[in-house]
Amino acid sequence: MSTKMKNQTEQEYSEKLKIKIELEKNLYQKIDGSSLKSFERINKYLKGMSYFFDRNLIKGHLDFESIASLIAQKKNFKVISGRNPSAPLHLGHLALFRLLLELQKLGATIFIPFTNDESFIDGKVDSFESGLKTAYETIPYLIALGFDPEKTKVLVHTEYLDIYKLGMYFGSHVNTNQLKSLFGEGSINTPSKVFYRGAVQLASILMLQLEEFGGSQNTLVPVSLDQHPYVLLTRDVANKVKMTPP
Amino acid sequence: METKHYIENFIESSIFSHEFNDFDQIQSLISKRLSKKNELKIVYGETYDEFGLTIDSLKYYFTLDILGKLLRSNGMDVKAILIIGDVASTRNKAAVNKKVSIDSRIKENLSKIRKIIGAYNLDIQVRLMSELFESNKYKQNFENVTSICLESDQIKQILENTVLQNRIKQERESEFLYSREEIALITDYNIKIGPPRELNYDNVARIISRRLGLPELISLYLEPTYPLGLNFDYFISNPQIEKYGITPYKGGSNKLNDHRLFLENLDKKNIENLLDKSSVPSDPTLPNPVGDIYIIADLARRMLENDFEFVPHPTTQIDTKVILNLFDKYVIQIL
Repeated sequence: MSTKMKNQTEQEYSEKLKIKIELEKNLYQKIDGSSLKSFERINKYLKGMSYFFDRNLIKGHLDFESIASLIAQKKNFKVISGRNPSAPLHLGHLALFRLLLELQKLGATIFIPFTNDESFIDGKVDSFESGLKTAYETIPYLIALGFDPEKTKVLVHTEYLDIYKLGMYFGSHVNTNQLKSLFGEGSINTPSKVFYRGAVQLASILMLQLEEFGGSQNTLVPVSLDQHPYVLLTRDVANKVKMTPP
Repeated sequence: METKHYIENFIESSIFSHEFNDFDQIQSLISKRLSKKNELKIVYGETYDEFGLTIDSLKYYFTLDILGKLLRSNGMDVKAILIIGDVASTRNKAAVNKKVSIDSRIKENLSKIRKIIGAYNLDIQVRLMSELFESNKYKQNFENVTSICLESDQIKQILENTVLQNRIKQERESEFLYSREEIALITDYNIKIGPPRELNYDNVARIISRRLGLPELISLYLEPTYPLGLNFDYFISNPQIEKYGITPYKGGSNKLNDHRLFLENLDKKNIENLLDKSSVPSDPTLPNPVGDIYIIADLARRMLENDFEFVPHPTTQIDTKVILNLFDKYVIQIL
């Protein structure tokens, strides 16, 4: 890893860590008008359906009630979980993939966008093609883990150029001050990063409600705590464009 | 087994709510009364809507009777009273607006209650709220309660919490008349059996009893009543119903009448259908409407077989077919 990339990664990490610590201090208090709710109550009802619920691994949620309803009625819902293909898979990815598999068993269609554009603009890879190669190398692992091919969709950002057009549309509902407070200066210090984080990443989640991806449907986004402010932003934009907030 | 243990085991069985009852305190208060061998008055009250008598009322009638019997077997002089809230039922604006004859519904319910008392040999007295309102004792209680309630902002705030949101305006206009009447009635009793939704009324009643120097009311809350035929997501989305249940004696509570069972229409196929569609949780702290039907059926069996030996905290994870057969044998065929 180059020194420049190492410094960027450390800066990004330290900014994310600050956000995470702040959130953990105020876990269930109002954050920008939307309170993260404890998952404990819902978890009791879902015990026995998956070891993730049996082991109380999920800490908070927003509007999971609608997903719980779909699970109860054995109806479909969507789950999106992006993968930044900057390096090969490691053991840490297994926990997330196993959660996605469990959700698939409960009725979810899993969408895995490979954000090779993000890998490139963050300096983690030297080219889009390098990230593309890593993305494709992930697919056999997904099959080996047991993902149902009929209910698993992968998409590499740079191979789906419409995402950038959609990003322009969704990004028009975000301002740069919001991005600064969400990501910190280090993560939006180039025009590419501003466009990616303020537009493309939104498009990646919200485009799942387009007809091409099955139409409007509840979308679940499993994230770690530091991503919560970004989920709030996405929900805010969804409301503005009259889509279902994830 | 000593009959005192019968009472303890009964109170700690799955009929009574473990969330809303402080069993140590209740056992201690009952023990004190038992040692004094005074008269005890235990009460349960109902109001009605345009739907008929629900099977959930049976749970309360049987519990009222069993508690009375167990206390008498300990040498107490016990009166077990069922109060029919005829005045409160007809005063409700929603009932008036529906132009349904609540009066005739009350008469039908009374007739059914008498049939239930006869069929299960219940030793309970039925009193109409309108009759009780005429007594001098009640009138004095009502004056005392009114003066304390209206003088205290703290009590008024607590009374606000006793009222459903869709009735708050009506109740504020009447200065919480319904609540004051209810409290004035129950301060005359020693033990009150009711659904957890009545918690706030009872707390106010206790505050007032203390101020009037009366013995503290003991409240015994039964496990909440839950609607049948719904999946678990209903309770996730309705935390108030998850916690407090629906009103057991009002079939239209929360507009869930299609998910209730009524004594006038006990169709076995319909019951089986509702039981099959109900979600049964593995966690005993979660709503279990199917378990509640088992409790009602089992209580009905005990009434007919004079079996009042209860097991503390028994499991209610019973097969639906078993529950249905029990319910058929001891409730449908009897009524």
